[in-house]
Amino acid sequence: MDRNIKEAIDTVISKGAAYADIRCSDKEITSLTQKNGKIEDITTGSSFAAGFRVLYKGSWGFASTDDISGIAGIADTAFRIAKSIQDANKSKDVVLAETKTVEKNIDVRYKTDLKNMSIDDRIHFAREGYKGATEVSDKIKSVSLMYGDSCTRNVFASSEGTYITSNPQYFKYYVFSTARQGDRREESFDRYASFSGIDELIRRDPAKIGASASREAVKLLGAALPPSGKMPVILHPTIGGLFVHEAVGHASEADHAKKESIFNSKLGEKIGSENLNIVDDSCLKGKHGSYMYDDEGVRGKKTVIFRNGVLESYLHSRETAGLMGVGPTGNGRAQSPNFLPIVRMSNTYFDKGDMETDELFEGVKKGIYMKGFKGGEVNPVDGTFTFGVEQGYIIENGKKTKLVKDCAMSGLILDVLKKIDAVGKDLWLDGVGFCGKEGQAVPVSDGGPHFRVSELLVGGQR
Amino acid sequence: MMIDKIDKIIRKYKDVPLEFFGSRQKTVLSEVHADKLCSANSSVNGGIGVKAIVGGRAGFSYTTNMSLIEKAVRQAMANAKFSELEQKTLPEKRDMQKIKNIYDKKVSDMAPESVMEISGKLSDDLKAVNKDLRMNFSVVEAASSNYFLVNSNGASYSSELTSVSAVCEAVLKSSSGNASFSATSLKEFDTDFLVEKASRLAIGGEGKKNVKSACQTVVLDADVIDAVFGNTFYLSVNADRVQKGQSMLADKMGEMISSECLDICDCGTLDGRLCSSPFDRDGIPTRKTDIISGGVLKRFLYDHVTALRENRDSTGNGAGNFNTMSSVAPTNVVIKPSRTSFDSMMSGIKDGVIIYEAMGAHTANLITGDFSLAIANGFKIIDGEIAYPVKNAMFTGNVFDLLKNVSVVASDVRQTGHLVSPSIAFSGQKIVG
Repeated sequence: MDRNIKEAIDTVISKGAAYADIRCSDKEITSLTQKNGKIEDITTGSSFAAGFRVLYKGSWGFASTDDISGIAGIADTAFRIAKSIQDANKSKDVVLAETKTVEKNIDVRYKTDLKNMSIDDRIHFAREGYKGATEVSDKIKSVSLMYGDSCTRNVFASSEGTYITSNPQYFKYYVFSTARQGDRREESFDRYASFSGIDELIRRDPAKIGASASREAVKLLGAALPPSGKMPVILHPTIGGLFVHEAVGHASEADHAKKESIFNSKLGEKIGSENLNIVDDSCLKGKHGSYMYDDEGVRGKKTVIFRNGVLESYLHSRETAGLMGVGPTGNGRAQSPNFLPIVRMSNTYFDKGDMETDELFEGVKKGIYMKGFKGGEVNPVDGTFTFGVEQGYIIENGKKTKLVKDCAMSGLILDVLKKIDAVGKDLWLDGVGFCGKEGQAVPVSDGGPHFRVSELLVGGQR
Repeated sequence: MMIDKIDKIIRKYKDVPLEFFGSRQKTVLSEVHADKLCSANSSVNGGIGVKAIVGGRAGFSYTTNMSLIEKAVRQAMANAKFSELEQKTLPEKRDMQKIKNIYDKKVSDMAPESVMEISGKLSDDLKAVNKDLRMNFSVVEAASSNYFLVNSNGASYSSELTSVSAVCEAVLKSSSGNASFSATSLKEFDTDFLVEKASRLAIGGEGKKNVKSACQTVVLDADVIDAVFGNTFYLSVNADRVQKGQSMLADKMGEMISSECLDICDCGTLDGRLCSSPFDRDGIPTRKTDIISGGVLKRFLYDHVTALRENRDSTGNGAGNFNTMSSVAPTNVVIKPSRTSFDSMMSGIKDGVIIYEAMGAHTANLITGDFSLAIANGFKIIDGEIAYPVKNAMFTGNVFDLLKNVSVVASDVRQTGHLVSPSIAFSGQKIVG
């Protein structure tokens, strides 16, 4: 263990802290943007950040810095803050759930190491994406592309003796295509991002990502405005995963569940339909929300949130697990060392059912089939959630008919969970997103099979 | 000392136009969860970014380690060789303006304990309104930043900013009310506003009722206007998006695009406003730019690079921090208020909905301006009075259609995010229930 880190931790413990940990990251980034085939912005950067967290009896103090020589300083500040909150509040002691102490150096060897890649190599990815995007149609009038990668050296150390170092290599690759026909302009996008190194981008082929964005944009030129009102909805996995994230995932985060939340004291109760099986799993390989250890040094795991409609488990940090007397689930995550870890999802998905996708459409007289992720939001207090979808089809008498675009859907969680009446047996787990909570964005993934909700509020323009 | 070091570097690389932007931010915040002050923290971070122009192209690099500036300069020069974006020059040196009340020493000196005190006051004041109200979540944050820009043309400017902000969520049974407020000084920071709004919405939100789908007048609170505009309108007047064919307003300059009663300007020079600054990320003085005047589209917003492309003046809308190059963004977007008070606007509405909080604005179509929002906190208005809170309803529309259907701009001006605006009533809008 680095001597400065050990000394800083020992000092606050000797002053009476119950627990302390530190996270450091040393990061090198390269990013570029390309607009209409021209490389515009090439940025390289290096940054350091360290965050120190102290638990003093029942209160937390936290301080962070970008100064590599400032570790003793933030340890001192964090301790002072924790103590003054405790002196003012006299909070009951916080009990952290037990976790195994580990000393581990996670040193991944990447087949293609970002550190050996030139700017030219990266520009090549952008050129490929642009080529893929423009070859689709002459209706594509504008293509914007964002590429970014980072090599990070992370350190986690705690007063319990855990010491974990890791060297993730991350990339993100986004293509936005705008199609134009007469006065109509439509934009669509596709992307991939992963912590498993750049080989994942090579495998997925930047040209294919570009082409996919353009195909969708061109398709949208022919889309009508969607209807509005309450109706049956079939969700494609690209949006079903987001539904799960917003409608189930957030409310099952134990920091919500211990405050005002619709899942309060509902553990073990059947509050969803028999078809509802929801899982959070940070151990899936190569997904955007995957990690081996969370930001509290807890090993990531698979957690079943709902099994056959029964709320089986919340997602936990060490503090919420300790409060409820259960084991931690490895969901304590922070955006960076500048933030405190809080309860977050990782890869969250709807587990598959047993129906063929076609069967879901049978019997739907008038409804809507939606796909294409645009983001969502939830209020865990009253259970209102919403998510935006890019495109879909009207369903009439069991058949997909007219193409429609741009609408959001909304519902009340406890109502809607009972209305999931059919689940497909396909399973797609490639969602790439950033989830925002309390000012922190963390990478997540979601997915699932096709499934049907017997009634949702659709906010279409018609 | 930093400036001396930069001057030395500029002299050393005298044939390469260089721009340095450095910033340092100190943030102190405290968090309350479920009525309990849980944690507080203090963070300091910053760094320096270098832009280098080589062969009429710009490259960029940044670092948080001040001793590595020269390495960043060499890196930026190397990156410039790969860029295909033309940027022949950096902005010239200008006389710099002063802007009042954007820095409060009391804020930058705030210790974690003083921020915690404000958190405590918010919780206490909420209980005083109604003892059954709970502070489900609140964050109070005091931030101060100082920043400078130095370039090879002799520009050397610096400034300081402060802000105190809070968000809070009050809960009564299963009804919640959110409020947020920010100010540049402690004196302007209004805890009463936060407590009044959060408690009023939480208490008023009990007993939600379904509404039928219908077109009607919709009143939007400034928070909702900023959320919708931030994902649609602000982008459509961004010169970079206009130049790249990503704006519906691209060929509408000089045309009527909104109701006549609407005047919208961007103004980075306002006293005491959150997004004011003497100069932008390019080192160009901020200014007032009319965007819509009497309903007519007057001008788009430009930074240095987008202005060079059209051979015109930048509007001082270059935004960014030390770790990014400049890109176009609004400063303070001001919607001119009328003399009509909020109450008298409301009393004129026979049938409508007022929305204080909406979810999903970020899912709007960035180009076409179509949006579809879930109403998190909204009330039915019948005969000029608030009748009941609405349950599981949505507001769908299009921002360009919204601009053309302004019926009343009220006078209750408040800043939220970029927007400085009163509440506004829009006619013929669609509520889905």
